[in-house]
Amino acid sequence: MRRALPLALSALLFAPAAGAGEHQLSGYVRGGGQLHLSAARTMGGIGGGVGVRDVWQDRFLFQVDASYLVMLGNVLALRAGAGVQRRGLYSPAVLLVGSALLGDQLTFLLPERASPARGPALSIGLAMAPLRFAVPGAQVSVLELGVLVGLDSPDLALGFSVGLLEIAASF
Amino acid sequence: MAAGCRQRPVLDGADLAGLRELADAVDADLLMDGVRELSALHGSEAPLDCTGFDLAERLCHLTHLDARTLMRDRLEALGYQVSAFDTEDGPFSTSAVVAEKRGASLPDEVVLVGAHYDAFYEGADDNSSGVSGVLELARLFSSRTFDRTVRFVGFDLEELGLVGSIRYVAGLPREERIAAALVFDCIGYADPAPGSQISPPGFPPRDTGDFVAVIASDTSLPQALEVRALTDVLSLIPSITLVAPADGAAPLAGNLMHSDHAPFWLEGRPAVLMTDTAIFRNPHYHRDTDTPETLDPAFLRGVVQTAAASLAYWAGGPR
Repeated sequence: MRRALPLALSALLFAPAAGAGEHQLSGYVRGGGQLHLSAARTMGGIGGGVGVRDVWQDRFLFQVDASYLVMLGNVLALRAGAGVQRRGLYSPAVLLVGSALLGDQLTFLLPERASPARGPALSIGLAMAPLRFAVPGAQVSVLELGVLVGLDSPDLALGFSVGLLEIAASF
Repeated sequence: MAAGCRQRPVLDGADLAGLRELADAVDADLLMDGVRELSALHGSEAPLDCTGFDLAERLCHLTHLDARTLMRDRLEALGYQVSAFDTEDGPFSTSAVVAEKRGASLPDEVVLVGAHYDAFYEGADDNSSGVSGVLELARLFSSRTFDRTVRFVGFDLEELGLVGSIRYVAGLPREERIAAALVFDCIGYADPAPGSQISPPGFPPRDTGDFVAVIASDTSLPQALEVRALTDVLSLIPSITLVAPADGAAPLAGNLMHSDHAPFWLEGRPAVLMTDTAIFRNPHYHRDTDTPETLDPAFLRGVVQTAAASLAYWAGGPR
């Protein structure tokens, strides 16, 4: 048993690449949450959505997704990302992400700010998926953490995202 | 007045000199006299029977009858016709104190200001300060003329879960147009010391408790912007405006729903709450130490000044 665990982990880490074609398209569903925080507004919530992803050379990721978030009104979260993944069964990934939140928000007017923030909350940042696994035809990620920055002029905005589950199927 | 008319420039047509004069007339001594009288009444009245409410000890220290009587008597003494909106439903009956000054040219459009008159212990900040604010506004408005009807309301049993205001709002005729409602809840406590203000998660961090919070929903965003504009142009006390999404019922905005403005929001009527943020600032909140000497008269006056200018602007006046 003591030897079995390291062997199993080694098999996961050094498994051959899954889906070795030039471009591999997949669709995915995901659940999680996102928050956009600034001195002008708080926006976001938890929810789920769908996306499409292109994996090029089994290494590079290009993806877009849309999610519906609740808990702070009704919010549409749009994301586009590009990044890299590790080849193999264990395929953690890191992505550069651009995000737009549209819809309801908590709005703040502070003494130094007299007009409300309007329009989509835009931000860019990094997302990391350290617990992501791929087999031919499918991928699953059970944790994705993202940190984003944006501008609610003139205020800086910080964003945080958490993906709790993502299941993808290639086509 | 811009209720329901978001395209109109903020403060379009405002008589700023008249609003300034009205705000200047707010009397801190009268406000504090009112707080002291109300607090004394709360402290001497036999509390509500709390049998069956064993979750919190403070529920055995809730009073409302004498404050209701004082509110009614004061409004009558100012020349108002006072009525009661009485309801009997469940274990507690409620009675809202209602007085009106009819509008000169738009009497069917109502601008409302209210505060709950029930309190735990002496309830100086929560909510004798608010009731005293309503009475001070009633005094100032009694000798002036406005286009719209101005209504002064004392809500019952807010502390038991907004019971009185829920019933009051539910009883409003659907066809009645509430152009704007302004609610006071805890408006007399300030502390400029660093660390005196708590900000809930998701809200902008503030360290000093020296501002009035103006709480609105998307429905009352125009009114909130007008309060802010008046604050700036008339150099009133600093305010922070917090606007909840939609009707305010979102789970993460729940901290903004804890007073008598919430039933207005849920009925789609524009309402704004003015507060010192209560438990997020006042260490005496819902304790037997919530007494008049803990309040800041200048801050209380500042809040009522902001309210006076806002209410008068919404009411179309003073003329």
